[in-house]
Amino acid sequence: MPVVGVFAILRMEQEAWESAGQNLQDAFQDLNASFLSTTKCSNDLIISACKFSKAKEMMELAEKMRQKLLTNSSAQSNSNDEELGSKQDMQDWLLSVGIVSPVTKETAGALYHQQLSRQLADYISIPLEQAGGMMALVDVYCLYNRARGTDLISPEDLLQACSLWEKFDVPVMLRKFDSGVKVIQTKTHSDDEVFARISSLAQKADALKKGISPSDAAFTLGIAPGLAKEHLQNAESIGILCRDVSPDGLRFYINLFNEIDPQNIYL
Amino acid sequence: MQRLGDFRLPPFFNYPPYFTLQPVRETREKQVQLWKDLILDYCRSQKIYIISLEEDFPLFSNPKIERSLSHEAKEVFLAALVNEGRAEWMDKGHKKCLILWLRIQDWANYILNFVKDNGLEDNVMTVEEIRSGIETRGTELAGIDRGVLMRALKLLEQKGKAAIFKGSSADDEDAKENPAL
Repeated sequence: MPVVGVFAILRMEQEAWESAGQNLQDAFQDLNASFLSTTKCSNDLIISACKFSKAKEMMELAEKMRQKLLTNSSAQSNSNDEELGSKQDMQDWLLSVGIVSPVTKETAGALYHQQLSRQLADYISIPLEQAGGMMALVDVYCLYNRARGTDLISPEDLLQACSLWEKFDVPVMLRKFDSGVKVIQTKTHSDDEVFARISSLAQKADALKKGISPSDAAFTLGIAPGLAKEHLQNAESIGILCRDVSPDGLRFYINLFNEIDPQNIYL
Repeated sequence: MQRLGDFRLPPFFNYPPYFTLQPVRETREKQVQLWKDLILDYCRSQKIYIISLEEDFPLFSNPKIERSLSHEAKEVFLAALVNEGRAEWMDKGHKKCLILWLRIQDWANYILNFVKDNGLEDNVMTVEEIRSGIETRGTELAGIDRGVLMRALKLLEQKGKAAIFKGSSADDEDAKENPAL
């Protein structure tokens, strides 16, 4: 009985995915083999030969899938939750697959940091958007090295690459908070938006009574607690918040000092 | 309304950040201003002249919200009063602070007005009479700190509006006010 209609399309899709999955598995096995051979012999040529055999195919495949996924998500805006969830999984998975051809000292030579800087800017833009426009440098370091998989870069290299962004026309920038914490953020990222969210957070009934701690803010804003503390302190420095230090720790309240009329303090 | 004895506390007394020294300059200025006013109001209503930083001072803690001022914060707020001439450190270690909810000059004027209003010109009053006598009962002069009173009287003396007679013993000093002069 011939298969027709929607069912046929679905099955074709299914088969396509399955064969792609098989390819990927093969590729992973190849990679594993290459790692094993790395430990056995120190000959660079053999390693790169192994790596280039299937690893490259795999990377290409991953890249294709990513492109497909991106076009799909822009084409169908009315997809249901389940699809969104699986897409999210796919995205995360693709991110962990990593970078097609990581910049290394061997491939780039003297231009190492410059090229690293550009690749980092390209790579980080997507996770950065997902994180709300700002990420701690530590997180960037972990994420980027995880994407590279091998040939990890040192923290110094990362810092140097980030500081080179000033010279290039890239959409991301390195930012240092007064406390010394370094983050990267998109150039379009505006503190005002964060301040507005913090301000509304601090004016909720519960927060008016008990204030907000950095971890409360981290939870609500969906960012790292360290970063949330920086945001709170920034908001404090421009007079939106003020602090309360007690045995319970540091908490922030909406700044009411300016609301109080010294002439009529009982209002 | 929360009260401290018969003193009415403002609502922001229950605002926890009020008890933490604010690090941001503008916020701190406002906070210091509120503390200065509250300290002066409280001392005036309770006739408190000396605040000791070593001892508990009711205004500097709020058991209801479990907050109290740190030593540093107390010193900052009192130092702000000192800068304005509304308080004086009584020792180098900044352990005790004399609160002048009326400045010495204002005290001197207050004494002059009191004397005029009560027709006591050319009268002789002892210092103790001013502090706890019948005439001053119900006025700000009742229970005035001896040191503050003596300085106000000396100021009047310098202006030729009063004379201080020294008695034979230390606590036997007479003041004769003469606003007419």
